[in-house]
Amino acid sequence: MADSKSATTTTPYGLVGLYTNVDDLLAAARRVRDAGFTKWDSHTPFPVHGIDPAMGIKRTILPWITLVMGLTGVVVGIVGQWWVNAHGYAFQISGKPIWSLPANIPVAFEVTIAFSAFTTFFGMLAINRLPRLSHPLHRLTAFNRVTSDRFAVVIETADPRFDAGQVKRLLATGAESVVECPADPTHAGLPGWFHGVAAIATCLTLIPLAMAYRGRQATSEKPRYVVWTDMSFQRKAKPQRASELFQDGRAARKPVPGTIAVGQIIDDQELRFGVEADEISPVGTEVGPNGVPLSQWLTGFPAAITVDDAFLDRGEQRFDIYCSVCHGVRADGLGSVALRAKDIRATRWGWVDPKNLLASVTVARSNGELFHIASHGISTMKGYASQISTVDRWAIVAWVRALQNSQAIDSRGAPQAEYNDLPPELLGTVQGPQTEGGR
Amino acid sequence: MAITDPTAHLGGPPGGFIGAQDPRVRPALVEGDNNFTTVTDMVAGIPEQPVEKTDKLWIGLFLISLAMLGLLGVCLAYLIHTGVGVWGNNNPVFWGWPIVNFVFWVGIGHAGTLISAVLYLTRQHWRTAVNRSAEAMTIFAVICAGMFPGVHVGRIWVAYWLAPVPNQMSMWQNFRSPLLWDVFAVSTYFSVSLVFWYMGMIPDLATLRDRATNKWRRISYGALSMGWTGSSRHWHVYERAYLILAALATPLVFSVHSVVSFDFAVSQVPGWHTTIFPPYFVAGAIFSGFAMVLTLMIPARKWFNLGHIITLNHIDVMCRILMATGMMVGYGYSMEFFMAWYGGVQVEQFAFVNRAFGNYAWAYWIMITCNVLIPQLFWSRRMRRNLAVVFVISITTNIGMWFERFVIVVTSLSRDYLPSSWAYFSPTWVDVCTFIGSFGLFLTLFLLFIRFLPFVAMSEVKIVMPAAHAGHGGHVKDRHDAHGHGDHGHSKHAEVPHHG
Amino acid sequence: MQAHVSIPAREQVMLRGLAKPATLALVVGVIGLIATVGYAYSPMAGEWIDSSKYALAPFGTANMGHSLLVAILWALGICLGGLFFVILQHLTSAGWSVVVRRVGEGVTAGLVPLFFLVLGVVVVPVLMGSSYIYDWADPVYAHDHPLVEHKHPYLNGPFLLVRVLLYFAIWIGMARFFTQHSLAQDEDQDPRRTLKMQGASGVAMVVFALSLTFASFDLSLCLNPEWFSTIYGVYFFAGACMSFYAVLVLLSVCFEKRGQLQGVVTVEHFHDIGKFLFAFVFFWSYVAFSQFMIYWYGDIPEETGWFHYRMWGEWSGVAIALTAGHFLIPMLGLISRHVKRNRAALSFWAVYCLVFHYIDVYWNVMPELHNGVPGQDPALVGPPWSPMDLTALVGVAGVVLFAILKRFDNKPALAIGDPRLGESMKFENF
Repeated sequence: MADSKSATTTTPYGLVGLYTNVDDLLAAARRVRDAGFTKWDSHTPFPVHGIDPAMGIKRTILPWITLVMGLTGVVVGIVGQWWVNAHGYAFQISGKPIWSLPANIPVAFEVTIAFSAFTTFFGMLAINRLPRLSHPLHRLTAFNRVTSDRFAVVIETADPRFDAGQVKRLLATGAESVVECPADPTHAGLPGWFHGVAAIATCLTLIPLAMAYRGRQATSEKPRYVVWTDMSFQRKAKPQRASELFQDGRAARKPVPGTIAVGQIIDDQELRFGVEADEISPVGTEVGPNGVPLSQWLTGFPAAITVDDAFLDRGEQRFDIYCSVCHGVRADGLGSVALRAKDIRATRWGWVDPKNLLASVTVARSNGELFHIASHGISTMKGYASQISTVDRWAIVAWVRALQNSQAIDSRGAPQAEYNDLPPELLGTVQGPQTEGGR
Repeated sequence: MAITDPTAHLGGPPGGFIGAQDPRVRPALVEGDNNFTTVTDMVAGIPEQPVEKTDKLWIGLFLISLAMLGLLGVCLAYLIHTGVGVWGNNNPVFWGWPIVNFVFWVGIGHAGTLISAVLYLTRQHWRTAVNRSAEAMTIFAVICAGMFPGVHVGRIWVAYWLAPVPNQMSMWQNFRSPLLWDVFAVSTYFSVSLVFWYMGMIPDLATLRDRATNKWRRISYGALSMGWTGSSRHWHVYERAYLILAALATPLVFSVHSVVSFDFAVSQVPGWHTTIFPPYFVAGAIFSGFAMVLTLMIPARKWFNLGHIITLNHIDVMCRILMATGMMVGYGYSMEFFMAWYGGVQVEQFAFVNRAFGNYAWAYWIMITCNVLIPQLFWSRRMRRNLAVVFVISITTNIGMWFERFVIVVTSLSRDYLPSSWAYFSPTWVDVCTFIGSFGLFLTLFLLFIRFLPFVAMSEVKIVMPAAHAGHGGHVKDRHDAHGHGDHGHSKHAEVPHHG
Repeated sequence: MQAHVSIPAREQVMLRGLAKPATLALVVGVIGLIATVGYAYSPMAGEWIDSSKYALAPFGTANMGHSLLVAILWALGICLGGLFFVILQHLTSAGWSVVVRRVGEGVTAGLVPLFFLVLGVVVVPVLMGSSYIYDWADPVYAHDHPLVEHKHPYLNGPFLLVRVLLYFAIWIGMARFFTQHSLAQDEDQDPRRTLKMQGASGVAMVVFALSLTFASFDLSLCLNPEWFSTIYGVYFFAGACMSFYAVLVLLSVCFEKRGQLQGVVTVEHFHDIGKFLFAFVFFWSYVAFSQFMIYWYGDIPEETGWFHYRMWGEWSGVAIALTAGHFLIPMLGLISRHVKRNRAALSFWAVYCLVFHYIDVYWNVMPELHNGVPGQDPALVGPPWSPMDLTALVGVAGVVLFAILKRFDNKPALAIGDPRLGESMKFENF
């Protein structure tokens, strides 16, 4: 019992009844519950079956909190994955759909479990107001056995109905002993310096975040910090850069005297470039009447080439191999790739239709220009210099010319005998010298 | 309680008529003349031994495990310094020992969670003797497991790229990849298991705190136990939380090893791409995990005199679970085999014939012998209760399960679709020593656990003793009271409280 | 609960007067079966297709065959689930379930009429060469499809007959073993019978697992003879067990209302059965997802074809209904302990689960009706709902229920002689 007038004694924390077995504990708990106390508790080394109704303990809301956080976890898991893989930085893999739910289920499931589990554990600690490292009961030696093999009922003096005598009587039945638990004389609060240290530590943790934020907003002329250099700074020669390996300090080197790099033979300008021999570029120095420089593309074939039947056959073969897929076997721009592109309307995505090589635009180009296009490409067509040899490219040009000529013939001007020699399936499609209709 | 005994007319006291297996009586979970006090003394006494008086056996084992841990350190340092080429992984066997070891350790970890969570939900009270150490085994096994994928990435200094954190490239991980599912599954598994294990230890740490005689122990155990007072109001919330965690850990256990199996099953590799992998892997994990629990428990119960708490009945039940899960693994084998024929997929058929008769046939037959044939000995009750036999079989089971993962990973990779890509895999000394070293890590942690933390869940064991229930047995014997009065509930064949 | 518990008197738990409901069930069942067959041969059953190549019967009968098969598989799942339950309780020496184990034993009685149904609907037509259900039974089809031809050593009439005889011999044999011992134990209360049943349960479980697996292959997997899945047996098992636990809820509630299980079966038992129902809903979802995810991710056409029929076009609604209705909704519904401890709520979910198990079996079987029919893609045609689905279900359920009720009649509603009965009556849940 407290002597409230004395400055040295303080009110004890409460009275503790210690029991040796479960039955006595339960009986005591029921008595205390029935007596209407509110600030009291029982302490046991293990959860005693039946103590909840004996004490009138209400069901905890923890399961509901877990449920809510679990559902949150599902949402976070799914939305999070959607955002990072389908929205924030859409991750294309082998042309598969950007968002496909089944593949995202495992991670969503794990996130849900993680959310629920941590909520449960920390929720349990929060509801129980743990950790609480300072408690008057811990200073009571007799209480030490409660975590091993004793059971206790504790009624706090703070309870409005507390009356020492009555409480003693209430607890005494079946009890091994009834002990007074003194108040904890040590200060139960956190030490003063703790707040200061905590404040400073919190501020310190904000510094890296602030630096990161600043880094995203500001610009800098200095190169970024590289933590893991890995292969970022390699000791190799880069073009147009200085190099300490060579006396002249240049990384770019001229070919070794007496050697020629692959593809760099310029023995015959007409053959290799399709440009008139004495000109250095297709855009010559001569200027035409309207002030436009005259084209110096080779109009015929280079002197090194003999255009004969064998040459044309070669050209046909090479054309069919390399060019007909886009331009068609008749060079009319209706190759299988072009047709497919039309089917899927590939022009939506930047496709340019392969040209009809029989059209007047292409007819008007000189041979050298056609050779140049076959070698280096034009518009979205790639160059074939790396795949087709120089002579074969000229053969292709020759074949294209042959096709252009053959498709431009007006059959009405042909001799009748030649017309009659046509294969039967073509007779109806081609207009002869003496027939009407056809094409 | 009084029930009319329907077998009264058959005469004889319970246990006397049919013998130890009388179905009318449940065997005692804590044997001998034990009460709360003696149980606490038995279990708490282990960590309470002063450090300077540590058992020589423990020191000897600890030194050995430290040596193995050192070997691991050397291997990892060499690996990180020189690169993944020091392993035997080649083209096309890109996944070699490291992945096999990863799956091996993760699998072992599953038994702990199963014992804690699933056996809790199914009210198997015998679990209380082994759940603490099994959970610890889980934590340490998962640590060993997680190390392997961590170091096999090559540039482990950018391993943080596995985590979904913002970065200057705005690039995120590919959440559609099973390898990333692994990251999430294993890390969730580790953290939830850690939480579960720790939460279970709080009351026991409080016991150690309250019994501590020296200041440092009091402070350490006190801090770890968070000021637990054993308050019934706290117990109420605690028990609810424990139940929820058990209910969450159950699907987690299934999902983690299923996700690990997805690493293989979602591919198109013959021998890997089969729908039975998830449950078959989970069953295999529990199989190897229980084997490891037995390997640890059998010496531990002897050396720490815990034979009355971890009884032969416990060993018996664990052997039966081992057999059941081993049968499930065998079922998986037969399904794969049958479907390889039935499905008519030639590469699949080849894969299975190759496993049995190809150049890794030796590994395959070790696997079959250890996983399917040897555990059949456990049909016999005598075998299940013969500790030497059980110990040996627990080790062969783990050998068999390691070989199962080896057979799955290596044979399928070394002989897949293109014969021109076929190659034989051999481990290097680094592979082998890293694996041995991982046992060092596991044993070191486990020995530290035994030495300083409560090995058995004291509070949970007490719940399943008869004296824990109102109306049973009455008085708790005081340690000074040799023969207490009215101890009805302490005979050898006391009935366990009826939690069904 | 420390109350005094006494084993009820035998007369109090005796189930009487079940003969009339049994006969009613039989009559309804037979009418249902006749209606199914009658409908199939009537003009209402849809057009008759040219059956020279792929079927020996008009299309209406193919539909009838599939409807009957769905009903048979649904009922077979329930009965096999019951057998599993009984073996499991013995294997684990379970205490809580003793009061409801007799319900499981009774449900296995349905295996006898199912044997005759399987013989009549599945085996005999195959032996006669009819491919009205199973494409592989037609030698021409097998010849045209090398993958099917390859399976001929397994998928042929005589071997199928041998296997079906074996399955039912095993199942009915095991069911009789456990039931007869249990009933005899009612009389003599000999605890050694429990030991005998426990001892047999290990081998029984192994044999059960293998027989159920291969039965699911023979009856359900080979409907699409070019498809395969190693987890299929487990998938069938999961759905079967879930539906049995649902039936267990309903029968236990029914017997409790009738009085025989009054005061014996408590809310604690329902809580446990509810937990198992929840667990198997979850387990089914896990298995179904594993099967789906692995094949979806691997994207190999010979494996994804099966899903193609069941996920695209007209069948997509059913697939979504299964995901939401067989997994999400019952999982959320059964997660709360309050639901599991409330008989009305639990009964609702039990019926719900039975309905969705039917939809699951339907989803497994029915798309194969149109698979292989020239010009018919299941995804385009969609679920071929017809009145035969209902009449077949009523028919099969009727005759199976007849057998079950006959088994229960004049027997105790619980295993009154079981040594663990006291333990079962007193336990408490978390």
